[in-house]
Amino acid sequence: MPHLWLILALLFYGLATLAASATLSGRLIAPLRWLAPMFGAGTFFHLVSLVESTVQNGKLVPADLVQSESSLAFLLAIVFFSIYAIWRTEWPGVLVAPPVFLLTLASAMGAHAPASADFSGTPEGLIYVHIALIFTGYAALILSFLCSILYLFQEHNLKSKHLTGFSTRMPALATLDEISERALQAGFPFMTFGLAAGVAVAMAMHGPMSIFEPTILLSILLWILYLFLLFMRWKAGIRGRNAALLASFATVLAGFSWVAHYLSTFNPGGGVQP
Amino acid sequence: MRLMLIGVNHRTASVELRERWAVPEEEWPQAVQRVLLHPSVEEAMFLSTCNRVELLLRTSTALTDAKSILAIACSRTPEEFHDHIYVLHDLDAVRHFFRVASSLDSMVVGEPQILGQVKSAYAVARSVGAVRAELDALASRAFNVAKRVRTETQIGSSAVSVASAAVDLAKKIFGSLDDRTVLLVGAGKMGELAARHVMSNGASRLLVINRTYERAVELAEEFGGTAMTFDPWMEAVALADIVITSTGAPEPIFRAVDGEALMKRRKQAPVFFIDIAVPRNVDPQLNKRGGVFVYDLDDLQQVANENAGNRLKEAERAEAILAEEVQRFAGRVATRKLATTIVSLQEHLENIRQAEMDKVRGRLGRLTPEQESAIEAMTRGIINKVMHTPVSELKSSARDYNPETTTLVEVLRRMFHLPTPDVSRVGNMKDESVSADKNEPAGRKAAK
Repeated sequence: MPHLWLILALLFYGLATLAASATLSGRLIAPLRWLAPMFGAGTFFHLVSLVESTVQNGKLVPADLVQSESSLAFLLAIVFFSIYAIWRTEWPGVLVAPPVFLLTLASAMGAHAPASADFSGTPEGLIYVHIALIFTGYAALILSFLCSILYLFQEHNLKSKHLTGFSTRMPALATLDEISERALQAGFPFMTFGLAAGVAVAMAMHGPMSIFEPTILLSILLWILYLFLLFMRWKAGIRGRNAALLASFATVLAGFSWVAHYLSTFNPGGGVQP
Repeated sequence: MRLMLIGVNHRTASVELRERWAVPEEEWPQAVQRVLLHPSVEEAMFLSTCNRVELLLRTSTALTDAKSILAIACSRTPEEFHDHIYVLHDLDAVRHFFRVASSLDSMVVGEPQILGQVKSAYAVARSVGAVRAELDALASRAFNVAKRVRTETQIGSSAVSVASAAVDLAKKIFGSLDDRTVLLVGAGKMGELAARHVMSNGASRLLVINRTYERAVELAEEFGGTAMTFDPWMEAVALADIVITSTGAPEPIFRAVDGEALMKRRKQAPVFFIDIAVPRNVDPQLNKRGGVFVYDLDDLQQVANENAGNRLKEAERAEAILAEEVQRFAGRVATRKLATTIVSLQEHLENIRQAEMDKVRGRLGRLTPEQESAIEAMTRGIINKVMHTPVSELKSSARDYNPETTTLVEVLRRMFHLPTPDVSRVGNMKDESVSADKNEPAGRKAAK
């Protein structure tokens, strides 16, 4: 059953992606109104799938790469809805829908394989807290990055003095910038506590460890970059191109870190071939 | 239904003529009431705006003095305007009314005020009892069509004047203009007008810099703002979000080389320069710096022109929607006529059947209940079979909103000498339009 719910979620995410594509084509504006309901239906079925999967496996969080893809997609959708609830704009969803769809698709295609990760020996509950927090931080970071892309695009249109098609309906630069900044701010505590929980898990499993262990090093680098991004926004007010560049760098680093965790034998549940 | 639309607008009459016939809104009720005194007028709606004076009527008979009726509404003589008045009938009137409500017939296509004015005209006519089932249905449909045009096209989404384009652009940068600061550099007439427009759109604070400090103080006081000296200008620009420049300086005041220092001082917060001075006061190269947006008069004009061009493209899409809606409306009217005609035909044939039955009873004497029942069944069967094909054809025609339906109904009516359809017998079209949205018009239900 969880797989069926995931397929249903995938279907609605697919429709949301179609609405996003139609909007980006610049010919149609009406599909944008369908994006949030489609996304909402997808998120609902996704939640049902995750809950059933948790009940069946007796595990609260992703046990392997496939499940983590599904969880990250779900968290991205949740962060999108948080933004939608506050700013009443579907536009971040235009860029969020495709990655959510692709992550869910990858998860649905690999969902037939049994969860192969073994979390035995890790502190009870702490591993769950670690992954949930880190993934929420990732989702916020990705949202911030996508909003920076939208900002860059709209800034380019305004500077070239050529506003046509869907760019006439996009949110104001100030709104995109605010969403991007708030998403970063909201994601930072999750990333920080997630990292701390990760360190605690690693120490409990392996005892004192080197900071140069690749997965730990990547995680710390990501956290420092995240902090730097926040600091630069606060202190120097960077936005536009520079903010987008930094956010994209952080997002790529987050991607590496994520995959590294699932490939590393050092990581609990790691050593899994994606 | 006999519909008629009589009017003058910006295409048929100059503003000098239009203003002579314009009727202020508070006098619309009297205008409608004067029209209702005409014996043939059953329903009426009167609209007078700066671009049009129009009268929408439903009449019981064809009017030969249509132009005079508009003159009566406006308390003028028809000779004044005779050559400028247009008179549209039935579906042409419906089409025009839909175009007006959807702002496709406006001087500035897509402007939003006209729908409100049409709604006011409807409310006034309704308040004096000049609108009943037919015009009520037509007006409701027109409002729905206007809403559909607004929703499905971008006809009203962009500004088409230079001042509005500037405000629109500012909103695209800052979102709401609330709590934004405007700096006016050069307190000339043009600059003052631009600043007034931006301030009226929500900006909260005005800073004024002018060569003559007293004039700056005077203008700042008018807006509750602050007058500043030009030197150092960077301090003033650091405080502002929108900078309107309109000085007579022969060289740019705001140079590209100052951009970096300016943005550092502003902590990279975006700034929008509206340069309406000629020669320009802002170096266009400044636009290349991140967070700085520079629009001169030509840029704003170009944006306004592009928007106007886009509106015209959208208007073509809107016309397609309109054509569809007019056909649908025609189909609904035909469906209603069809329903009443079928009822009349059934009654007519039933009367013939009853008369023939009486004759048969007279000739054959007392019939047994079985015989009576057999003859009843046979005669009813004949009538049903005769009616089946034409009625099916008519229903099918109406279902497809075929314009031919009206002609077929008319032919049927004449062939059987049926009375003129009283459409009120099948309920008003407002109900019908509601059920039509569910693909099942009430009139059509009646026809079934």
